[in-house]
Amino acid sequence: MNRARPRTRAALSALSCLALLSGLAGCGLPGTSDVVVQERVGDAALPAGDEGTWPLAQRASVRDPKEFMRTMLSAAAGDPVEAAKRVRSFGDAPLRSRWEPPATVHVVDLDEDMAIDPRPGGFEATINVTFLGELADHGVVLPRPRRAATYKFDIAEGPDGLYLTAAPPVILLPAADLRQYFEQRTLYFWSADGAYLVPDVRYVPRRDMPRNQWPTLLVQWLLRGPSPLLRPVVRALPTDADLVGNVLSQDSRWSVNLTQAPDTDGRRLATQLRWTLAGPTGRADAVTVRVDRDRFGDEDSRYLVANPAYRAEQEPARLCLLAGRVQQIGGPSPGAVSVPYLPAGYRGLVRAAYQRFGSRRYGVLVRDAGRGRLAVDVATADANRFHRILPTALRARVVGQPTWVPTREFGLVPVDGALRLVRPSAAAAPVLPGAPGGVTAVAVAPDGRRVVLVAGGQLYAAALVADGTAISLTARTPLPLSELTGPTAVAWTAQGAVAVAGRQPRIGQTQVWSVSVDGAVQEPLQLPNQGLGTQPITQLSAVVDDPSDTSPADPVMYEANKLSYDTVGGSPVTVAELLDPGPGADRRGYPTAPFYLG
Amino acid sequence: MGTVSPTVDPAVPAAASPEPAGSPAPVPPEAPPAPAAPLRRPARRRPPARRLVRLGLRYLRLGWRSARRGARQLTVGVRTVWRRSLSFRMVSITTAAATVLVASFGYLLAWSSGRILIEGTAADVRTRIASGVTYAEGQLSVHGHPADPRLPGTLSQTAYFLAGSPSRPSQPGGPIVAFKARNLPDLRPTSSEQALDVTPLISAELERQVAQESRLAYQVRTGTVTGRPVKYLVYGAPLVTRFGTMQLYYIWPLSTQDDFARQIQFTVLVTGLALIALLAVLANLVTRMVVNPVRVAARTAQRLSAGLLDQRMSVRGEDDLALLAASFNQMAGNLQRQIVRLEEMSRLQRRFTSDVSHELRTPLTTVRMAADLIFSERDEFSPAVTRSAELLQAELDRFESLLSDLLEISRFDAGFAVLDLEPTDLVPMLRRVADQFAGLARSAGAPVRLDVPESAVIADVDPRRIERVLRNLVGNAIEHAEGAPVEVTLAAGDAAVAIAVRDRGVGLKPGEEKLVFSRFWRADPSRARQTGGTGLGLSISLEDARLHGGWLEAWGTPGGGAQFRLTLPLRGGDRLIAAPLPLVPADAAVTEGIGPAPEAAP
Ligand SMILES: Nc1ncnc2c1ncn2[C@@H]1O[C@H](COP(=O)(O)OP(=O)(O)OP(=O)(O)O)[C@@H](O)[C@H]1O
Ligand SMILES: [Mg+2]
Repeated sequence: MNRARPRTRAALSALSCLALLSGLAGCGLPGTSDVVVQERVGDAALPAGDEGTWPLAQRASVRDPKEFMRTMLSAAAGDPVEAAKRVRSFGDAPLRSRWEPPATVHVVDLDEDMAIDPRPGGFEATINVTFLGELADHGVVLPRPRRAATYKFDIAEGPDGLYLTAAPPVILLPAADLRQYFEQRTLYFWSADGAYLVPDVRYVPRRDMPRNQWPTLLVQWLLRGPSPLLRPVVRALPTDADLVGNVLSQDSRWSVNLTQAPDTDGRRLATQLRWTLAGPTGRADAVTVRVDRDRFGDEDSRYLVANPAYRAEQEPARLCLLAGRVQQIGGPSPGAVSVPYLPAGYRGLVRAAYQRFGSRRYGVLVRDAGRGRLAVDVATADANRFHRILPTALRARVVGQPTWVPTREFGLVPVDGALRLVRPSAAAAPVLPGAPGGVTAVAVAPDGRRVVLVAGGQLYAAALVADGTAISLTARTPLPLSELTGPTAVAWTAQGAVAVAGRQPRIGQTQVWSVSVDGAVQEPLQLPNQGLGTQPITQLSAVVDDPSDTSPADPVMYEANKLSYDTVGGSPVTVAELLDPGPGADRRGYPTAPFYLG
Repeated sequence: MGTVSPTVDPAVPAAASPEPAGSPAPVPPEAPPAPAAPLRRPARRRPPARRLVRLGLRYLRLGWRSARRGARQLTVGVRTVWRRSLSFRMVSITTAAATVLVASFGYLLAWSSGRILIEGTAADVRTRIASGVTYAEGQLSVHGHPADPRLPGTLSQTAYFLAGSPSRPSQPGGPIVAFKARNLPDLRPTSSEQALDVTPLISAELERQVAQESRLAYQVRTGTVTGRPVKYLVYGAPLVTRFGTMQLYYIWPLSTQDDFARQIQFTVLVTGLALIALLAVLANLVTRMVVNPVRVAARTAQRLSAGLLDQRMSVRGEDDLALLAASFNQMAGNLQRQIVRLEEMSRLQRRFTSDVSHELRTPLTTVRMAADLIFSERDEFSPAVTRSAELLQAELDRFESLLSDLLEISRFDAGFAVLDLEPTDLVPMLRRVADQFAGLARSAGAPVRLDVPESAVIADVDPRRIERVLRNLVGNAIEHAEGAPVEVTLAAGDAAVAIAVRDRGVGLKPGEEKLVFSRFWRADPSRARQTGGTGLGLSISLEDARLHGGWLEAWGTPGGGAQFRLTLPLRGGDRLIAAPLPLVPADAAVTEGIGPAPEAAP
């Protein structure tokens, strides 16, 4: 026993030594340290600046029921996801808990005359609305067939103003509020063949989002893909990537950070983003797309030609017909597009449409074929001269204003209510598949993919798909007209808007309205008191405003009562305004069928 | 090896301890109740917990005591080894010094390596956080209000991005990036690890430095945010936004650095321990190299002193040890030569003594015969001649006794002294000696008093020699008694018999107890001439006692008298262990008090 003790002790000491060893070796870095202070950075002085207040559009202490109604209705303006919540805040407690409308935000045209009927303890408000569309996600407005409705709201007097006590289960966004609280912006998507950018109209909530957050929002929307109208004609995004962080502008350059994605075409994306982020003022800052460590930029000039609305500062030529021949309106201009000449013997023109495509020119010519019939020819030209005129097999009594599809090699002609396709190489003019019957007017956007047409007194928007040689019209959507009825002519005036000529039933006069391609924004282009009278407009022609250019848009030209006008409500174009009308021109009457070569 | 430190059970507060260590135990439970408190309930039971505590304390104290005992034993053992072993001393000193050195150096190394690692990481994080601040400030520049509903999204996206992965939470090894807004309480802290709460890692002081002082600052913290403790470098930087200041934190796991530091520490530790062990071994080797020859020298010296004069050390090499061995050998040689010379001299002296004694004997016999003749015829001579004859006779007696003494001495020296042991009763022998000196005692006025046992004291002795010894002792005592009585005591023990002769005369000065046994030594030579002593008596007596295997010792104080004690074994050849009589008489203390203290003089 005594003998064993030292051994145990030795073992114990060895053990403790081991423990000490492992303990010493096991401590590593110190577990805690003092705070090591380094130099001061930046001053605490804040750049003051506060934009936006949250929450927005709250029930204010309002006593006037009309004003209350207007505030209440405008509460839908903003992020559509939160629209119901915002509107609900105007209700009293029971309504707040009860009112659960479908999430759809309806864009409506609100009738001016709102009826307010006093009631014991409050009012009853009656409004008349016309449904124009729905504000969907990503700022898209989906056009819906025109439909009128009447809604009644009960308003009660509360201790601090008015309350909503009963409301129909619907979220209404007056179009005027859409105009006021949203800003129309354009996203761009590459066409299916990857040649051009196709604009896509969106609405950015102006009220609950500071302007410097818009670029981020736009890029996010862009990455979510195109709106339904564009879907058939644009290709998928050149990336599956997600946006990282916010889109910032530094030294006049946008920087967009994206996550790593397998096939990202950064250069194409940069061009797309540059146009998308370009403001309405025409300023388009360069974009740097960063994918992980790679950077992509867009070359400074090439991005411009990706947008077909870009005209390289060439002024469009205003043309018209005088005694069956094409004449140019206005004096000679060095910056204007050169107009090719038709052969001297070519006469009897009734309508014509020219289109520039690079250095080539195309024309669709409708001439008098005798015996009350009209024939359609397709002409091909270089900058100076139509060297080839191909007659088509079309013979008809009624031929609408033809149009040559920009960026494409074919034209569209409404012939006897059918929309026909003419090509520079074939005499056959087939009916365009997918087109509705009773087409009276057609207009194609500069991108050559979006079409607006009038068929059977209804305005439509559609996508023009060209898959190889198969050309068809898809995604046809009726565009509701808020006030105008009986549209007769249509022309693209902007990337996202068309001019529509029709009749304003309330005053019984012909008017030209600017209608956005989703029908959400509709405004008259003329002042009502300088009316056109009741003469219908038979032809509209306009040039899409160059988005890179800040110069004022070219006027809309139209034909009414066999006269040409180049200002809405002005006096008709006379022979004296023509460039080189030729001898005895003033005896040949007035110029007709005005059109642009843009 | 370590001592057990006194541990006190922390569950028992010191005041609650019923029996504080060190103080005497209070009234034991069995003690009768104090009369002052008759109303107290008798036999108040202690709660079992208390008893348990008491028991525990008792065991603790027991253990502590045994540990202390063990420690004491150990210390004693270590101290003994320390005193005895030079190599142990050397090795422990070297080991201790090396340990101190290696430990301080190792600590310095480990500490500075840890610091360098942390500082390096901090520099890395600093560059990261600088670009992180730029990025975050850019990202947050689109927000102008802290209540912006999109601000939290931007914050978490930015945190993810800065943590190294754009949308997913960061990888386990990567940093955690966190935003805090100290001045904007509505804005919750955001980090790249939403599932983890990293706020405990950001200390108040760090936050104060970053948020209030607008400084870059960092700190090492240990956190268990991921379930197990990890060390983090928490680096903070202020962030200026349009809606207020925020703080950006990079929480950088130090796992790699920690492992590295641990490796360094382990290496340092192992190297240090190896170094210490090596040094200890080296010290042991070196000490052995030095100590071994010293040990050999010591052994040789021991042999030398034991009489083996021809012992020598082997001389190897030319170093200090070789010098030592050579010197030692030289010394041994000189010593041997000297001793041999001295031996030779003493042998010669002894030869001379014995030769002279023998040579003198024959003429002395002749002279004696002539002197005896003259002495017997002295009445026929004139009174002057008679007186001369008487003188001659007396001087011859003295001469004869001197000669016989010398012969006896030379016999001892030559080793020819033969012991003729026979069982002898010492009591009659003592009486006989006393009777012989009765006349002298009377004339000196110093009566001899015998104190002998009733029974016979038989011992194996050579009666001739012992009687001679007793005669000398008693004679000396009477001679120096100065009129005081002389006491002779005989006492017998189991194995020994002792005879003490005590007088109360002049006594012995300090140091004379040994000198009296020297040959020809007398305290007062002039006086001796009166009494006619030669100074050989006690030395012969000593030789006689030694021959018997006995002791002859003296004690005395100046003026207090002297006592001589002869101790002999009862059986011849036995070893003496104790004497039945004390050397110092019982009344010595009294007498000693009178004279000067023997040891008092410096
Ligand atoms: N009892 C005593 N008291 C004092 N001194 C003593 C006593 N016995 C001996 N001595 C001293 O010791 C000395 C030596 O004594 P020792 O017996 O050897 O010689 P001695 O008596 O002088 O001569 P011897 O005995 O040879 O005839 C004496 O001279 C004396 O001085
Ligand atoms: Mg004597």
